[in-house]
Amino acid sequence: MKLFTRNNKKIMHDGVWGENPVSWQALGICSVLAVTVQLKTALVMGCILVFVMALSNTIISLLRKRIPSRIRIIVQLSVIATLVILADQILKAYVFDISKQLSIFVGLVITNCIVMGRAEGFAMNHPPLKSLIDGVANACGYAWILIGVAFFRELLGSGTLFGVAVIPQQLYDMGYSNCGIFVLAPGAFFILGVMIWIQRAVGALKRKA
Amino acid sequence: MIKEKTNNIWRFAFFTCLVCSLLLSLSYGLLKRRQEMNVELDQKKHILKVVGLGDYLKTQHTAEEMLVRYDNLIQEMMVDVHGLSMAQQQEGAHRVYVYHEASQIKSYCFPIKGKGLWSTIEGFIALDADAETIRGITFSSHGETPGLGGEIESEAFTRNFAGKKIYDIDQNDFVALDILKGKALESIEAKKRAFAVDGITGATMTSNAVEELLKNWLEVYQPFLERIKGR
Repeated sequence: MKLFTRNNKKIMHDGVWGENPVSWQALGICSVLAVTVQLKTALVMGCILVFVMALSNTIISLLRKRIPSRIRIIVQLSVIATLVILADQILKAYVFDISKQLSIFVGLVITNCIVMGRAEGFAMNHPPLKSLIDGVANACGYAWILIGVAFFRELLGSGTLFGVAVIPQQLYDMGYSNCGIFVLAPGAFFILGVMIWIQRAVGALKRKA
Repeated sequence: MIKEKTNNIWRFAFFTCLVCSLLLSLSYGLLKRRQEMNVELDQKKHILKVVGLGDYLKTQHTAEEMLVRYDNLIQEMMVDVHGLSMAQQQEGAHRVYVYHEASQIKSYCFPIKGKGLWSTIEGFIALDADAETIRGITFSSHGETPGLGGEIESEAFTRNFAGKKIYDIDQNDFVALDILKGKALESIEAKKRAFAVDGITGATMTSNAVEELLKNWLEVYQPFLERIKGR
């Protein structure tokens, strides 16, 4: 079986760009607002989602012919919840500081509609490898939006990137000051809105061409 | 669609639950020690920070080095309701962390805990050796709204506490700090300023919770503080 067949490439492209879960389908907005104040938390959150979605899609896909259809949603939920709690436990044990900052948001991955959406919409009727690719692609699609939003929020809101000050002191001396609104949720909406705008404009151009 | 037998559904549900719960208990069992160690380390970091060793925490050091330093400088003791120290942990005992350096007491540190707006607020407060000047305060865990009440853990809020008094010499008594509504320190009487701290704008409920928490803390430890002051 080849990894980069045309079909698989399309799955990857759809997840990351063409049908991006956040900017195209407007899913998972809540967590995009919540964990993008700093780049570090956004990056970790993206990694958690890649981990959870890769495994959940694969496991659901492997079980798809055995799962009784009447209880399929709750089975998907159990698998996802188990994986999320597992990820949370690992974070608590190995990167305690970050797990403290993410606090309840890790648990809320369970309710992130992207995860269940892909499990129910894709993994339930596609073979494991394709489902794995779809899971990773969608998680990456979510992650790059997250990181993009966090980059601008941290830069404009706190003047730092990964906690390191990047705006030179001279600029502050000249009267520049950090823009507080980017630390709060509205700032995330502005950035997300602009990103969706750009993405759709580029997508529309491509379709015309 | 083939009609599924109810038995099959039961069987599938049972095995799903079994596998999931086994996996989770296994991970919990394996990682528990590490997680508890992390929590303990975090507490000790907060204690070191609040007694005024924040600069040390910013330097490069391993967790072991920090623990050695903690053990050298900080002595944990238990006091009873009358403020007398006790040999071991008993019911009704309260913990005090004493910071020594060169066999001189530099600071007393106390755990604080109380009801916040959404969840329990926990942290530490440290006093100078005179038992009346606040050296620092830190909040180690809380569930307040990020960006509003959550700001209690920010340096901008906690640094206001340093240098405040909890002992009123005129009244000859202990007083708990007032947390004001927003930035109001300039607008109150000058002699009250040593007993008040600016609150957080837009987070009055959390500010009130912190005030209440400090009141409770003082009530519990007042006998001990009186004993230190030799009253």
